Formats: sequence, C-alpha cells, structure tokens
Amino acid sequence: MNRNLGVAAGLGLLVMTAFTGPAHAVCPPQDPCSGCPILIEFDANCFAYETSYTKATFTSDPGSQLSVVGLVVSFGVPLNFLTPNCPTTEYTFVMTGLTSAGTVVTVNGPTTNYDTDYAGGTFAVYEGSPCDAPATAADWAANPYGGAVVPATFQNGTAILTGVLCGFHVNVNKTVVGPTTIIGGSYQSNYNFDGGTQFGRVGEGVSLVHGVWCPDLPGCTPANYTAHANGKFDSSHTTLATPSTWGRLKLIYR
Amino acid sequence: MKRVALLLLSVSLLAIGGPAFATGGADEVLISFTGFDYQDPNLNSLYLDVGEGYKVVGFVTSAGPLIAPYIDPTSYEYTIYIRDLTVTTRFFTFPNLTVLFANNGRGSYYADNFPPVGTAGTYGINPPNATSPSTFTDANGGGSVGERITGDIDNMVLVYNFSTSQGSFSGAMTLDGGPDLIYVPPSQRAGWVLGGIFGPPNPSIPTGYDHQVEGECRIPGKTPAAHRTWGALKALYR
Repeated sequence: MNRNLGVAAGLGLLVMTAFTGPAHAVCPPQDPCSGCPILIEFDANCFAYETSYTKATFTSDPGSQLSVVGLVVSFGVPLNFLTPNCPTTEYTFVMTGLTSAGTVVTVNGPTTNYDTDYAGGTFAVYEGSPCDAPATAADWAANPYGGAVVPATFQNGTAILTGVLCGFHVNVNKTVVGPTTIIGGSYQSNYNFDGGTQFGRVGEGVSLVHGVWCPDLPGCTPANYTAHANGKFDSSHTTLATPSTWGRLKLIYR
Repeated sequence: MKRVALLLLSVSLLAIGGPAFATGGADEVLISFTGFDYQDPNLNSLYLDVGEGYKVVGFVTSAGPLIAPYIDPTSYEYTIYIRDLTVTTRFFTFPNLTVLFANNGRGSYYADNFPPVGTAGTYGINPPNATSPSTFTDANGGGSVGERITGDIDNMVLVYNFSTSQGSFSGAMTLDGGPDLIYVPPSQRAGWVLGGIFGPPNPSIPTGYDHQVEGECRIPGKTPAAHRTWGALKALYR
C-alpha cells in the first residue's frame, strides 16, 4: 500500500512538472498568492529594445518586436541560495517575442498616457561564468542591442529557468504642469515558468513581473535602447518542491 | 554670408552632438528599493483625495556606483522612507487617475544594525503603527547608522490605471543632507528622478498598505559641454 501511494505520488509530481504547455493564448489568472515575496530582483542594469519605436512620441508601431535584457541583483526564497557574485558568476535574463499591438494615447487632465499591449513573449534566466554582460552605464552606452555583446552575453551559460509571458503591458505617462513636464512609466506582465534546471524549485504558478519603465531620460535610453526597466518577478504561491531522484523516492517507502 | 556659414556650422555641430548625448550620457542610479505605500493622513475612502498624504517604506535592494563602496548589506540593514507628499490636485477619468503633490516632499535612505542591536524594518498593519515607519528610520548601536542621504522631492506625480491595476510615480529629487552626501559630487546633487511603480492589490500587501512598490532614484545622463569664453562665442558671429 505504501509503495502504491509512493508511486502515485511520484507520478503525480511527474505530471505536475511535465505540464508545460505552449504559450497561453489567453492569460491564465494569477495564483491567489498568500505571501508571495520577491523571487527575482533586477535594478539598474536592465534595458529594453524595440524594432519600431519612436522615442520622441513614446509610440510603438503595431508588429514591433520588444526585447528586454537584464542582470539579476538578487533571488528570494526558494532560489535564495543563488548569489550573483561577479566577476565569477552572473545571472542574466532575456525576454523576447513580445509583439506590439500599437500604442494607444489617452488624456486625463494634465497627463497623457501612452499604453501599449504586447502579445506573446517568452523569457529565460541564465547562470553564467565569468561575468561578461554590461554592468555599468558606460558598458551599456558602448554596446547597442544587436551587437556582439547584447543580447549574446545575456543568454550564455545555463538556462536555470525558462517561461512564458502573457499580457505584457507598458504605460508611459507625461504630465505637464506649467513649465514642468514629468515623465513616468511602468510595465507588468503575467508569467509562469515552464523549464530550466531550477524549475523543480519554483513550479509553474502564474505570477507577476513588473517594474519601472523609463523611456525618456537620456541615461534610460543609451545606445539604441528604448527604455530602462527596473523590476522584479514576484513568486507565486505554488507549493515548493525539492529535486530528488527515483532512488531517494523509493527509499522513503522501503 | 560668413555669419550664415558659421551658423550652419554651429547647427551641424549641434546635430552631431545630439546622438552623442543620447548614446554617451552616463546616468547613474543612487539606490533601488522595494516596499509598500500607504496614505497618511487618510481622510476618507477616496484613494489619494486632495489633502491626503502619500508615504512609502521599504528596503534598499541595490546601490549605484556613487555610494555602493560605502554600502555594506552584510553588516547593516538599509531602508527607505518617502514622506511629506500631500495631494494638491486629483484628476480621474476612468480608468485613469492622476495625482499631483505639493512640493517639498522628502525621501531618505537609512542604515541600522541588524537585530539584536538594531531593529528589523517591520511593516505591521494599518500604518502608521508601532513599527512603521519607526523601524525603517531608527538607528541603533554604533557604526554608520541613521539617515544616510536625504533629499527634497518636487513635481511629484502619481498615475494609476484602475483597469490594468498598474501605476507609477515620478518626481524630481535634490539631495541635500545626510552624512553620505559627501560621496555625491555637488554638481550631481540636483536632477535626480525618483521613480516607482505599484501593481495590483494582492494578499501579500499588509493590511492598511495600498500597494507593493518597486522603484529607484536615478540621475539622467549629463549633456556633454565644452568650456568656452564669451569672446570665443561672439567671435563665431563676427
């Protein structure tokens, strides 16, 4: 009986981890997390690039392809054993395949909002050594997207996590008060993991990746980048799992 | 003719200088942070009604090159506190909200020893409370504790879309106090942009707080300039 239960549990786990469907056409709802802390934090070294975007008007043309590359600053539970430790080990990520539906412009009082939805999108988080991705303002300015360094240095090493984005939305807002113009921005998207060497620790729960979207300040758009993105992946409430072997699983029931 | 030629030359030089500004402006991040925001005073149920206050407490997640050499996250807990922002004007056309704040808000980051010498930043519920913002601003024990850098916040704007549950704030910050201000060159103490975002409500937000906030204080790239004399400038047009 014990063995049967063990096999059933093992098969159940396998089914859970194997259920990694393709990109969702309709975004699944986020998990009702009950205390979902930050899973992945990225700050200064994260920039976006788009194939058909007008910086002066904050407008993305329909069909434009958005990509985002960045350096991870820290990991939260259950990945907090991973520590960026340059110059030895860096953790990077790349988001690609985000297709613009075109920018919608609306006005609310002194604020003009520029909202853009992006369909599709996948991402991957890499562990690489030694550190070779741009990590200073000068590095970014010297390495435009599409060159030898970016995105190549953000997608080398081991893919520790891969996943799917859904409902990626960018808002840029420009508020004019007298002689003063204030620019702000944000982005957010649902995501779920679907693979990678650390997938077993995080599961496939749906959560949120979001952050600041800076499209205007000169330092926010070095080289040919179109925005600076600061942000985080929130964790989902998915029950955590520990990778194990069949042998260890069998031992439990002997 | 000579003046026209010189003007054309100047314009062409400016045009060449344009891309250099866009590609070479070295901007810097002072700090990045995460935390929770709340209204205080919260006069009524209308979100950020005129006269209400806006505050953020949280933790520093990373530091930029100006102060990174003086940040020691293995020895100290680093926190932030944004306050003194009072709503002056509110615009709402569903689903978009825009809130303007009075000038002279304040933003600071702090260092405190880890427990048991110091106190861990603790959100609690329904701020202000016994631990928030006090445990985010206190200084206990020796070392480089207390408010490290503080600054004035002007032209603060908060935008929120109730349809997408997505919002952001942005304001201009001038660094003007704290012992670590010496690490910021005087020429770089003005012109910082305090920006942040907040997403949809979720159960991880402690009762009484409104949103989980993610943000940074960033100074834009500097425009390249060449030192010239008035005489040299006048000579261009003679």
